[in-house]
Amino acid sequence: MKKKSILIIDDEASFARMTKIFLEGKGDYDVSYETESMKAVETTRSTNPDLILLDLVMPELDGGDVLARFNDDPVLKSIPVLFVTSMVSQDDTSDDSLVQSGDNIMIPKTSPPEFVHQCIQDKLAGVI
Amino acid sequence: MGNTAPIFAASMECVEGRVPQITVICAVKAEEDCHSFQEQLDFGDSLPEHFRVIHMPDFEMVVEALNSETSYDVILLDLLLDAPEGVDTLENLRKLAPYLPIIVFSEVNDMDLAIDALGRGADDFLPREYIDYPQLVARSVFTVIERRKQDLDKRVLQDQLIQAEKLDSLGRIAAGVAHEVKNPLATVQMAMAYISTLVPDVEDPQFGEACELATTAINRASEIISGMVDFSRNDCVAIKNGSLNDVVVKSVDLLRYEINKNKTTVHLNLDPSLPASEFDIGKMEQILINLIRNSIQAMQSCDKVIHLSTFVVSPEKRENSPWLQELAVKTGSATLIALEIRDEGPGIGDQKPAALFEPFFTTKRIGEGTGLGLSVVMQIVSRHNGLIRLKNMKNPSGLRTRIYFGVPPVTTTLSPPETQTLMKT
Ligand SMILES: Nc1ncnc2c1ncn2[C@@H]1O[C@H](COP(=O)(O)OP(=O)(O)OP(=O)(O)O)[C@@H](O)[C@H]1O
Ligand SMILES: [Mg+2]
Repeated sequence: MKKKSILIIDDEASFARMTKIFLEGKGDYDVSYETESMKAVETTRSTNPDLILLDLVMPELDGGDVLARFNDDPVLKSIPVLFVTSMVSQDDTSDDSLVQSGDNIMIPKTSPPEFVHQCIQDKLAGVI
Repeated sequence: MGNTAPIFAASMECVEGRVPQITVICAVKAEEDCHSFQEQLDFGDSLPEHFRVIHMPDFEMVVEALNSETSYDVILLDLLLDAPEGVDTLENLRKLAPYLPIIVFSEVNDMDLAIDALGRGADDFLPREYIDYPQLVARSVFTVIERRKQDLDKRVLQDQLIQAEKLDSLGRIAAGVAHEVKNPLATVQMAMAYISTLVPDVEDPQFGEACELATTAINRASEIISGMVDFSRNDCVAIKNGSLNDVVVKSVDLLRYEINKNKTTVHLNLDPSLPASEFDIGKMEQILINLIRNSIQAMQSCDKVIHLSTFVVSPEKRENSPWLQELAVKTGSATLIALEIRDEGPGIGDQKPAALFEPFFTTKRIGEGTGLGLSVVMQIVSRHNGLIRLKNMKNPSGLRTRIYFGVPPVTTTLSPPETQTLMKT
């Protein structure tokens, strides 16, 4: 099976890099990352990922702004996005640890990594 | 403890449905003096108050009484009780009972002595030649009690203000710290998750355990940080109209697993006539969850009961409590409602209730509590302009926590009785 490609957009380079290592260790993914939100659209175009992990709080453009730019673009618009953010804690996400904001799912950054992985699988499978 | 530990006035509850009784320690040598005080205080049945005068002819008795569970309202202290130490006795008593009104009784009517006594902590000075003066003793007793009560109100208000400010600045610091720390924590969490996958490939027999320990530790740190974020978030009080009873039922449901696991029984006694009120439903659930969890944890051994009730505060109870009156005024409410959780744990002992509300105050072992539960409760309650009272109970022993809220007059009464819950789980 062809590996899925994932793009991480997060200003925290070490987190992005570590997430890449973790996910690539699973064997099913090719992961790249972008730490400058201003370049998010450009990088997304060039890598054309199957899924984007998008940080909510970033300097310059925040996650919401980036998503708005994606939505203005007929191609980028269709790429599934998972928000990964340090703003929500597990507790807020009371029901099942996922917060829904519009159509977008937010995952707390400090969730257990296996949970993040599960969300990625589900999102790719189109079940969330 | 009674009168000596009034901060947050855990034990200052009005006696419900009884004639108010004022208990007087009469620390005089002579029995006759005590009688004449009693007569003076019983000068007519016109007073709604009823005096109970207890004769304590020596200092040790007074000390013992003050250290006992019983609470007293005022001390009449004869300067000759412990002669020649007179005023020293007064000072010692003051140390023992910093907030209890003390009226000094003296053989001589001496201005210097009076000033000295007042300077050393007496609330009033009563020379013998005045005690037969009609109503004077009673008047003195009323005045000193009332003055102390006002002081107490002021002090509690100040304490609450200080508390609120502390929480506020702590909240801001916590939010900043939590946010900064989350990213590195998340990175380490990821790293541990990755490293753990390598365990089968590594020969070192300790490697797996080291990974497990590190993972547990880092997950714990993340939990604490999340707790701090919850605590520090002061934005979202999303006030809606709702039923406190529903919140109680929902919270118990949320905790069903923990409740069953600890074999705890929860009795609900929810007042079906409780009016709807305005509050942040999520935050109110948080209050209940934190309190119920504390009770479960406090009870440890199984087969104990937590009683959860809601009720409308009766007008008489309100009349009797300056706190509740103030709450009604402050919130512009004609009706006050209360939420009560009563457990069968050990209670809070002599612990000053204020301390429990301090962020990070905990008596639990590391890993079992972060000490944020009650500070979050306090913060939410004060955002809702409510009032918390803790009281140690006997038979069976346990802690009773009451939270009072005002119901602003605009709110309508609640859905029909059949949707109300009055159940035993
Ligand atoms: N129902 C109770 N009975 C007896 N003691 C209690 C009760 N509730 C709280 N306490 C005491 O108050 C302390 C502070 O409570 P608080 O809920 O703030 O923190 P915690 O329960 O220790 O930790 P956390 O709630 O963060 O897990 C507790 O450690 C305990 O000593
Ligand atoms: Mg607690």
